[in-house]
Amino acid sequence: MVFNSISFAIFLPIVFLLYWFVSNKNRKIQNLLLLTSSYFFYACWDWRFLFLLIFSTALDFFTGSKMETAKTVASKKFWFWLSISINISFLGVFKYYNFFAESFADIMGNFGLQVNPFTLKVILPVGISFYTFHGLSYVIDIFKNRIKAEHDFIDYAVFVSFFPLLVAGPIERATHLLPQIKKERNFDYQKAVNGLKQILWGLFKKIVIADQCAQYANAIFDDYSNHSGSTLLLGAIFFSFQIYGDFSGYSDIALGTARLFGIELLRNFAFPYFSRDIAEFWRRWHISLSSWFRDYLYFPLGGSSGGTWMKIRNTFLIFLVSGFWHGANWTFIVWGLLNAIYIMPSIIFNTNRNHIDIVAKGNYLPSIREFFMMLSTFFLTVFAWIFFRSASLSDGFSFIKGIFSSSLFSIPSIHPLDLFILLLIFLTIEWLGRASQFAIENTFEKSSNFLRYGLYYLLLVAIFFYNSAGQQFIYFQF
Amino acid sequence: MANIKVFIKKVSFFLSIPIILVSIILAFTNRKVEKIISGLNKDQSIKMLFMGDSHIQKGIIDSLIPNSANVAQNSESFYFTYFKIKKLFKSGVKVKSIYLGYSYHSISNYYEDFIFGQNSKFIAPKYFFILPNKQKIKMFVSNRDNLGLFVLNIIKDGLNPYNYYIGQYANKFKNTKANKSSMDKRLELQYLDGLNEISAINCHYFNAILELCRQNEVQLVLVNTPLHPYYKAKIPSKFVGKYEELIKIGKLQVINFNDLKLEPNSFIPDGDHVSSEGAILTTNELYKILNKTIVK
Repeated sequence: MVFNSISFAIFLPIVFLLYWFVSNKNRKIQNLLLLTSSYFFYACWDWRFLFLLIFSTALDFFTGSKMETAKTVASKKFWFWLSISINISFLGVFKYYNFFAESFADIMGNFGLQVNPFTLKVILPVGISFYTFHGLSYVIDIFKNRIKAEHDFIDYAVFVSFFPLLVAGPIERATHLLPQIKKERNFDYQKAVNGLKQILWGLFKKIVIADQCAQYANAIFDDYSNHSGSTLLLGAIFFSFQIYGDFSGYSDIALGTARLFGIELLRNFAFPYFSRDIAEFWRRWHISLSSWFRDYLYFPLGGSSGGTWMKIRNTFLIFLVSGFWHGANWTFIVWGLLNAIYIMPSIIFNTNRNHIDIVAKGNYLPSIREFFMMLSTFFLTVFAWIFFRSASLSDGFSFIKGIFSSSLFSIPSIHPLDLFILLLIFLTIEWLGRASQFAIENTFEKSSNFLRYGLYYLLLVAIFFYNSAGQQFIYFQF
Repeated sequence: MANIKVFIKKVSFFLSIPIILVSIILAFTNRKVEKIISGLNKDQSIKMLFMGDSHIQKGIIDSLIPNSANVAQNSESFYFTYFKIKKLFKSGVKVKSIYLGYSYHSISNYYEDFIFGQNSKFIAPKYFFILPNKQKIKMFVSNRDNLGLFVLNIIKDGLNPYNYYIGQYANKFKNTKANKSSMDKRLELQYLDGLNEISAINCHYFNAILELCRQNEVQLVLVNTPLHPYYKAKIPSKFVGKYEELIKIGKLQVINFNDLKLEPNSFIPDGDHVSSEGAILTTNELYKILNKTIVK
């Protein structure tokens, strides 16, 4: 069941009505309803993996309790490492085993040794990277005595499996989400209205922007050897908007849906393409993952406390792991390393926190300097996305070689005018709403209802018009 | 609780406006279709109907044959033709004979994609209002992942001045020639993509058409429009065999133009359809046959 499907459009109102009308004022029944709905939602993908999800949830719940009641440090460590190793093993088997086996065979092959690795024919359980990270943060926080273990299994299971965030995040923290699950929830009209607006905007980003860009990006990437440099560059730009619309659209729908149930999830995107440098970009892109790595990897490794070399080493490590988290392919690793290289000057010269505020705050337009800073940051990310999208490293390098050919300055063979107009409208709305949580949160808020509702209807018509085939979200594969 | 009721009320009101608007457009479109059908009904001079897919749509110019109407549509499989004939009969349209387009591709399963598959959202909307309610629901279910586009196409087709719902002669190709690469692509789509089989659905509705015509005492004649020799030669034998078998079982009359000698400019690039020049030659030839044998 994807967010942009009719099934979800039926599922959501049913759960909403049951939640507020049938199980209202009974938090335990509400949570039970959320859990069963979430398991139903997940089972719609593949019911067999539901057992894996339940096992993973039960494991972290159990080891969490054991860590809390452990009488010795050694016992606490035992339960901690048991949970960590089983969680990582699941990820390793389902996501990385084949990659390591094949890479090992390739390396052996380079030394003239023929190895036929045993590979697994398994499909990746949807959302495994996300719910594993939920569980990991929970056990790490208990181990570090930041939180107490949860004693109500239903509440804990809702934290791991809450359907809006189950398959593609945001990656939640027990410190943020669990207290909300344990608290009485009352219907908040304004919150629900905001939720609906965010869902609408998310659907627009996914269906109108991402799916339309995908058509052209796929056509260009799949047949890159037959396109001019300018067309390839356009293809990379289309993919940049595709992945942004796709993933941030998903996050918007997730956040909006959670709000309908009175729950606030972590913000995942903050207009990343309006960043003035790469450090700012990474504070605005997939925020829940970046902050997860910062808190659970970067800081434990020493963070920036040990001098420049430690900062450099840790930054490289974070980006390497981040790339690897996205998928078992060298293309993701190169994508991660490329971003690490981009961010390095600001780490070395300590300028990584130069741009904390919103660009051109209070102004309609950015200054020329800001504009060029945003443009150059955008093109750096476009360049890195090429590896993210390519099927293999050699494809990625050939694609880049194709861009920097003499045909870079020719007229692209693909130039969809309607998509250019759509992107322009999209960027304008995003720019005007960049001070808000999501672009249309406050658009026309002080104007007449006619303008406000006109905008919502326009978005609805566009979603309706461009809706085709209930396309999957890219991040489901991670 | 009061808050949530206001919220639900407002959301319902917000959604009801487009729903009402779409319903009005759909009602208007439904009326338009009924009007077109009653137009056919009122025209007592029409004794012959040319029906089928793009082969007939592009190949038979009804204005050159008195007392006839071409009501063919591109990509119209026997499934849709069956319900179209049923609707026409139910609306009181009285004709003596139906000339149904019948070629080798008509029984290939590639057409099923246009009924219940990925292309249904583009083709099924043209027939939506002539389908019985049960089939309408089936169409909605088949297009559940593309519901927006499906409904939108129903509206778009309804607002289009072109006679989408019943069909008419249409051929935009003038003075074109068949070329091998287009013919190969066409053959690949219809017969050779490795998944192409005889379609059970198409065969079922072909027989249903036969039965429907018999029940209503309407003569059914099959028309196989010209094919380019290169294209014809590459059609796999299993399709040719099934094509002949259905004719034999149904004891049907066939007018076969496959081997009609035509000029090179008589075909469109895919070699599977005639150009407007080819349509004139085919229609003239058909008219000669009709004069000799059937229409007296």
